Amino acid sequence: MRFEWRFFLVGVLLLPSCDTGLSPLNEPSGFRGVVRFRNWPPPDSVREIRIVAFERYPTDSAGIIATLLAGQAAVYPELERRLPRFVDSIEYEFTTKKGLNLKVTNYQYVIVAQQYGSNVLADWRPAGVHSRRPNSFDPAPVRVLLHRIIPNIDIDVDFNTPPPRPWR
Amino acid sequence: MALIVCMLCLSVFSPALMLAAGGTITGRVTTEADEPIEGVTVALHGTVRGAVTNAQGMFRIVDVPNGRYTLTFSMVGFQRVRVSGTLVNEGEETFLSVRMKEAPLQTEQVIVTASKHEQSLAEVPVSIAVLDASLIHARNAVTLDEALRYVPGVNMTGPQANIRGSSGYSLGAGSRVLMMLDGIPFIAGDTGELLLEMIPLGSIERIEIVKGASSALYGSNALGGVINIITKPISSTPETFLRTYGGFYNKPSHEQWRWSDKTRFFHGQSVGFARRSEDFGFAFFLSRQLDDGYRQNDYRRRYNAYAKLRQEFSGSSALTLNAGLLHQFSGQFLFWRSLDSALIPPVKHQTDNLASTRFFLSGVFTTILSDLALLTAKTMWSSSRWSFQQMQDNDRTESVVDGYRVELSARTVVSERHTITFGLEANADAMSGEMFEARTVGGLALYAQDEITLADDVALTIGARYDFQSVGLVEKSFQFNPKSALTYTPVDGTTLRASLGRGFRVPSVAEAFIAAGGGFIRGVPNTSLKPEQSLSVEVGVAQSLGDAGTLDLAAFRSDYDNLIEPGLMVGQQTLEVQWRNVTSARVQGFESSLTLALFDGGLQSSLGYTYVYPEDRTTRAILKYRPRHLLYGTATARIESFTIGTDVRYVSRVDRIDDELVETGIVPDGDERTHIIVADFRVGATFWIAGLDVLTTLSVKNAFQHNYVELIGNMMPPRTYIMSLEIRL
Repeated sequence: MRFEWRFFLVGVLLLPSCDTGLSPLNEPSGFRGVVRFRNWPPPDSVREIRIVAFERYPTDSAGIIATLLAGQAAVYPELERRLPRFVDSIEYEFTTKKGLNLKVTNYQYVIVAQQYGSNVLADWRPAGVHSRRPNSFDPAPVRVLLHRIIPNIDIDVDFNTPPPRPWR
Repeated sequence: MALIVCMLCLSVFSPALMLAAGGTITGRVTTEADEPIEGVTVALHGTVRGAVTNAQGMFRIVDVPNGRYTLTFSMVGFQRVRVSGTLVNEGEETFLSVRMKEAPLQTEQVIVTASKHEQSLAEVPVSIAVLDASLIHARNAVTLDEALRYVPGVNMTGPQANIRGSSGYSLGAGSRVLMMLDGIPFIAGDTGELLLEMIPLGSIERIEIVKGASSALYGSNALGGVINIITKPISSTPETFLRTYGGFYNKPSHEQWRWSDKTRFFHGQSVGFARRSEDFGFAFFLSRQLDDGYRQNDYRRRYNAYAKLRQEFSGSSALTLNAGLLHQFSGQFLFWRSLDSALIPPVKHQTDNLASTRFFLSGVFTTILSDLALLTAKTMWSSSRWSFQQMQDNDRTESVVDGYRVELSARTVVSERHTITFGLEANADAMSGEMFEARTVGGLALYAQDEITLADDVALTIGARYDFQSVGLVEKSFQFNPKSALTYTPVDGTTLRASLGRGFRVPSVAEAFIAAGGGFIRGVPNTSLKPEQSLSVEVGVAQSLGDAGTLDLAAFRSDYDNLIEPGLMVGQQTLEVQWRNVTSARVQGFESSLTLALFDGGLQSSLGYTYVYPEDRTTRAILKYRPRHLLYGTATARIESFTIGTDVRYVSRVDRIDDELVETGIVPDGDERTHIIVADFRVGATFWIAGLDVLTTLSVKNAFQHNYVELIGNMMPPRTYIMSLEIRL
């Protein structure tokens, strides 16, 4: 049988079309844990609660919203969703897909933030902070690793004894 | 050593004192159809004299002593012609009329890098690849690193060249390949990087790539090989050209990677002008390149100016001046945010940018002292200022460097069997700026090489170079690098070669003294660094296949000691890097190159395969960033004034990378890599419209949109469409 160079050549040239190389992994990164609540205050002083992760410990001149707008904090859940109130505990999974602006980086300060007044831009304070030691307000950093969900990032919230507020 | 130098000097200068008013050889070189051929290299055997034909095909060699001579005429695309027994008498003019037959294959390439003088490619004792300007333009290459990507044995890791596994990726500091411009070293005095962006592609005649250690002639950095960029000679025919190109990047393969709604364009324009009278010629060249970038913050604005002047004196001396200016402003895409966001950088680096202004002025003076001795003086002054700015941290680091190089060399035919080349070289770089602080570094070198004709079919080259280099390290560097090479031509068309040589590389200032940051990296100085050394051996055979083509086979091995590699340490939010002498290594492998010209030259193709086994001799691991298989193929068919071609490239997946960058999360998904399979297609046409020579080429690069990285966290361009138009007056 005669060797058909034309077909061989076309075959060789089309070989690369079968292999498209790298493609997205689509695996989320983030952390998960449990938030335990105690001593819920009246509804008008706990209008909303959210989990917020700060890349750096916020200064007293920057509030949550300013830090969020600067791209140095991430918030859970997404703006259109809310966390349940007046429950004993919630389980959460804060990931690059479910949260807002979470990045693969190191977060130095992870808290549950409480909106205690009507001003959505200013009336926020920390209600609980992720710490390695029980009954401590020393913040423990959380390193978000790519395509991994870090477990056991738990936060205890006692509305009667909130952690110190780093902003006004 | 001093005695040898004195003897060599006497051998050069004593013939100069005997002013021989000899005869003249003139002539005209034409095709078989009696069309004059411009650019034919005419060599007068047994002397250092020679000439190049002008646009009328004319050449002239003066002051030739009485006697009978052999001349050879070489030109790419033509069969070499040898004319023996040409008689020259004092005061008389001997005229030669030479007709050259077109060869379908470009076998008669004349190169200059192997031994610092013109040689036929078939005669050199080392592996050399030649990339011709016509192929660079046919491929619609926009940058020099793009042009080098299809040279057999060469692998580019981003802008860094790796010849036969000599280099990996050194974070932009140092190079184991020496880049030269017309034979003058042309690397950054601070970082030791190749200055690929300095040379506008339109000013290039060809690029010669020497594979293997070449420090015996070229000193530091040449331990892996040499890339010598030869600029275009000034044609005796007035030349004016205008070239413009434009194109765009295809949409990313995955919707998730789309970061811009706009089509990402790139374009460039260049204009060139050259004139030459009998003794004086000049050329200038202006170009600009604008690129939106296919990735976020990967834009580029580049402006080049280049000028060349040449003055000939009495047919035996010539002065050539080159000057170039580059201004560039670009975004800096250091690495991706993650593979899921492969075309955008991390938030912190979204606005990083790099600004650079570089300038050089070089001069080459050649004079024929006698028919047996040629003296060459080369000098270059280069000045560079670049700054890297990290907008988010308002952090700006700058480096300013002035570099000076001088070389004085001589080539002399001391007897029928010996041709000696020797010289003296000095360099100094003075720098300032936050990046490397104020410091001056420099060195001095002496070298000599003897090309010995042992028999008609056997030639031996022996040589050595002694270098002193001081870059402010604890130990000053004194290096002695010998080499030897042998060629044997048992039958016409078959040349066997073998070479053995030492190479070395002095650490760049960046590797030893980097103290400031460069984006995500903070440097830690190390003044205890020692030079890298290598010992390379190669055997090869070049086999002519007649009019059908050539086959070249080579086996090579290089042993490296004191290899310098970056050591990475994790800091707070950044990475600290310190370059250290970490290991010894052995890189061995083989290479085959097949060049074919079929159907009377109507179909030209080449295929190059390189296998490399790069092993760390301490850990027995494969060296980082070295692919083991390279397979490049090119085919071009010509049908009257139309061409159609394809370039295909396969590079195997690299075995190892910098794991620290990945494990620490500095480069998310940095270990995601694959083999590279890229296919480019091109069509071109040449027209003659209203007295204008018009060449247009349309290319589709990475036609099958293979998504791959050369450097970790750096996705290469998707399918790219580019069209160029060149008009010559």
